[in-house]
Amino acid sequence: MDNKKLVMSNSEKDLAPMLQRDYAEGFVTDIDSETLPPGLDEDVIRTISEKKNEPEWMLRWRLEAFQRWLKMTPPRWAHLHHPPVDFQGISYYSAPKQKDLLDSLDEVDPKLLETYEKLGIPIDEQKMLAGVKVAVDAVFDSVSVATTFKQTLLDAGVIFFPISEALQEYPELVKQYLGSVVPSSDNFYAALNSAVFSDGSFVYIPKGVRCPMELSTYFRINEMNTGQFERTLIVAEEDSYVSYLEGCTAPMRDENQLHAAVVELVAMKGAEIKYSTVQNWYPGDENGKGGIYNFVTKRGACRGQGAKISWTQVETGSAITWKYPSVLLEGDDTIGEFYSVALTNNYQQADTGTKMIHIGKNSRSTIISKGISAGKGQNAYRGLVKVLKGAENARNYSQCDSLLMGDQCGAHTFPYMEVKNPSAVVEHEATTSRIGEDQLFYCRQRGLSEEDAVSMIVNGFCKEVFKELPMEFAVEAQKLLGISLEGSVG
Amino acid sequence: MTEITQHYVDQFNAASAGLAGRGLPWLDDQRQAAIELFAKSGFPGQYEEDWRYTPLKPVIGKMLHVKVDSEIADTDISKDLITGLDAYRLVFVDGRFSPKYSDTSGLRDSIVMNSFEQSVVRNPELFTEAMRSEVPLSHGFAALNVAFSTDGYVIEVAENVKLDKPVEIIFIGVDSNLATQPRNIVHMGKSSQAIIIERYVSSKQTGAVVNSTSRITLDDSAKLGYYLVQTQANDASQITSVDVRQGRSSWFGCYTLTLGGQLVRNNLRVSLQEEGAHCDMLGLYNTGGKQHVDNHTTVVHAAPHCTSRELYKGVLDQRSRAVFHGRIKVEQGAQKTDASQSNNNLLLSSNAEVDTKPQLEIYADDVKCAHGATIGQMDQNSLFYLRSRGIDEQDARALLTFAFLNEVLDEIEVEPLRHSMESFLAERLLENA
Repeated sequence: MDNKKLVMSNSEKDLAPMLQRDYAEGFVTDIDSETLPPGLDEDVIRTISEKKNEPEWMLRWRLEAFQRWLKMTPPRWAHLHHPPVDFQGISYYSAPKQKDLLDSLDEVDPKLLETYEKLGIPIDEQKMLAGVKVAVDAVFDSVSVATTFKQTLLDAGVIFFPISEALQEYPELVKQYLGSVVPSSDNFYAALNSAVFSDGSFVYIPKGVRCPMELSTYFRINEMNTGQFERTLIVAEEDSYVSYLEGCTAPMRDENQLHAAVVELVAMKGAEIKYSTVQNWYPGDENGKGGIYNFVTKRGACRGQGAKISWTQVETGSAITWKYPSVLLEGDDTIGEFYSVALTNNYQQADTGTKMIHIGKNSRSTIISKGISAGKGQNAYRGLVKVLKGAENARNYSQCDSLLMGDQCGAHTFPYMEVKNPSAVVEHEATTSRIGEDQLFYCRQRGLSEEDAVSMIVNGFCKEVFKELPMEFAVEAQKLLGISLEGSVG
Repeated sequence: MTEITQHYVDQFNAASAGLAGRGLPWLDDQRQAAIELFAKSGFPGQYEEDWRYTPLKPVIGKMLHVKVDSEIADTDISKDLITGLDAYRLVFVDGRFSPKYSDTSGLRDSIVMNSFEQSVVRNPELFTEAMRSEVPLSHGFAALNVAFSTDGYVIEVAENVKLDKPVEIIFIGVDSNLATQPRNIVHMGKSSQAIIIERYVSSKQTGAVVNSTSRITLDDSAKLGYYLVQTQANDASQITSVDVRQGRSSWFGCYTLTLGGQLVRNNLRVSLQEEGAHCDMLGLYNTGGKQHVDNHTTVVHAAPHCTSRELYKGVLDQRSRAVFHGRIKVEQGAQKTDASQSNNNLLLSSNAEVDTKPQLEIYADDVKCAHGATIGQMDQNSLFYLRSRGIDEQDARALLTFAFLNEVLDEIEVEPLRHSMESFLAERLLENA
């Protein structure tokens, strides 16, 4: 006990300056923007649709979703506590002012380029390192401001467009798949998103093509009182492959901002989609003030035999996370994977997990979830594994581990298993632990500082998930975890 | 108010003046509050998270009669006795205490063992603060039970007393289409020890519903083994609500054995309120036909240095369905908690279904909590192994199923009960294999 007190007092002293850690991405870009006044009605939706010059069916689809949304109420079942969101107090569209359509990146507002440079996101094709080729779609508030390597990808047959442009260029493709995985009636936030979504990425990989580079989208919220409602749609035709990354940041503000996205993935026979997220929205300050409400619906459908969808997420930001990336295993021999690290510090709350719906024969799913709670953070895993009657020989393995740091935080596990087929094998395991004093002592004795020791132990705890991330992202994720945990040792 | 809620409220209003213990302020108040709550909330529905997997139609789909008179039907309990079990016995016929079939001879004075009705009528002073308290009225069934509080058993074991024999309580259903509302109360004094075997049986097909509540309080260092044995007819249904509070260094062992019934829902909540308390929760269910078994358990670790262990195992055949909800809640400050929970299911038929939700809710950091759940089928390799040794398929299946359940059976400490369960299961498994 004495030993512990000593460690604590030392660490408190050393860590004092670190407690006020900076959220490096918390700056605001001073840029002229065109922002709709707060509030939501049919006119707002018509205006958004008009601004995007959308086809008639798209507007109808939005309005139908809006009508549904009006009849719905926000979900209450999650292990989250927050004041009700004032949906009329949010502006549903904000875009940096720019002249006409851009022909090349040179015409992008230098202030925007600077913003992305500050965030360390390469949207200048020339400056990219040889070998580390990543195509980027940069979404700033409600619009996509730059998309790199569009042409290179088109040459390979891959369509990587902001969804608003895709609606102009490939309306039929978008129409065919939009809402086919997450219908607008799916849930409260999906309905809201369907009504007001402004931008996001559209990816189409034709039959037999292996996407020549990693695709990525960086989401940035800048304007005050706005919500971000982006929509991502990825379609992988037969035997194709794509790896997609997404990252997000926002300025530090005292009020809460809403982010309600929808992501839909469609994988045909033999196709594989790997979707990775590093979520670093502003989490609020140490007193729980401000931060992003992240209410996201993500779902993929394995439509053909042998299709595979893999979700990997590292959730370190947001005041509140409500997110369940799911896989519908419709085809035979399909594979669904979910790897997650969720970290909550200070007053952050997370209720996240996955749904694996086994419909096809021999479908397999793996769930690895690592939750870390520190400070007064509340972290919940909520997952559903459902095996339908026809899913012969379905197989699921779930593992949920929680790490608690401090006696004020909480870690919760709410798995649901519904099995209607006797040949299915479904397993769930969960453990809860904390960083042992003996582990810390061992590291300290070997000359590591306490911070480094904790960071090393936590990284070891998350290793199973990090190894699923593309290399550049894995490095970033490890750094992020280190920063988010600073000052929480005790 | 729905029709079925109104139906029970009307029955309550008609019977209320004649209910046992009328005029005792604490009981009158409880009844009044409970019926008001029930009238407002009604029965739970599938839209509620805690009831989503359990269609309540067998229980609330028909207008049943709540038995409030004290007339006792004649029946034969000899076939329901457990061979070799030497125990004090309380028998309730259709929810009403029957002195005729009961036997508490040789009981020491320091032990209270009686029916709820007789206790409130003859010795209302017996009800101390701890014994008056009801189960939490967290759902309509508990509220309905407390409102009627018709009968049930009351057991109080005084400080330092160790019961020399187990107590066997038999609830036997005789008349058809009754809804009985037994309210049971157990208070274990400091360092006392006892074993209670609460059994539900039917003399024939009755379509009856038993809606029981049990309030169990364990003072410091008390020990209680509590067996809930459900072997009623397959058209009878039951909702139990058991609420347990444990004092310092007490032990509570709970064994829920469900083999009969059409719809059985067991709500079990154990609260470890003081340091050093330990509880073991074991469950076994073997179902066939269209049976539906729902075990809803919660363990609350409210104090440091408490331990809990939970193991539920089930075998499902034909069109039966099992639901398991287990929650371990570790409250802030409950450091050094050691809790484990596991639910294993064996599906024998393509029409059977299992829905399981093992949950952890943890607000303290220095704890060891683990839970796990599995759903699977019979291991083909083991089956092949036994076949290759010359055992026919039917026997091999029965043997493997029995072995699967034996992990729980093994823990039953009352030998005659264990033997009777073993032979009951062995017979059934061989028949169905």
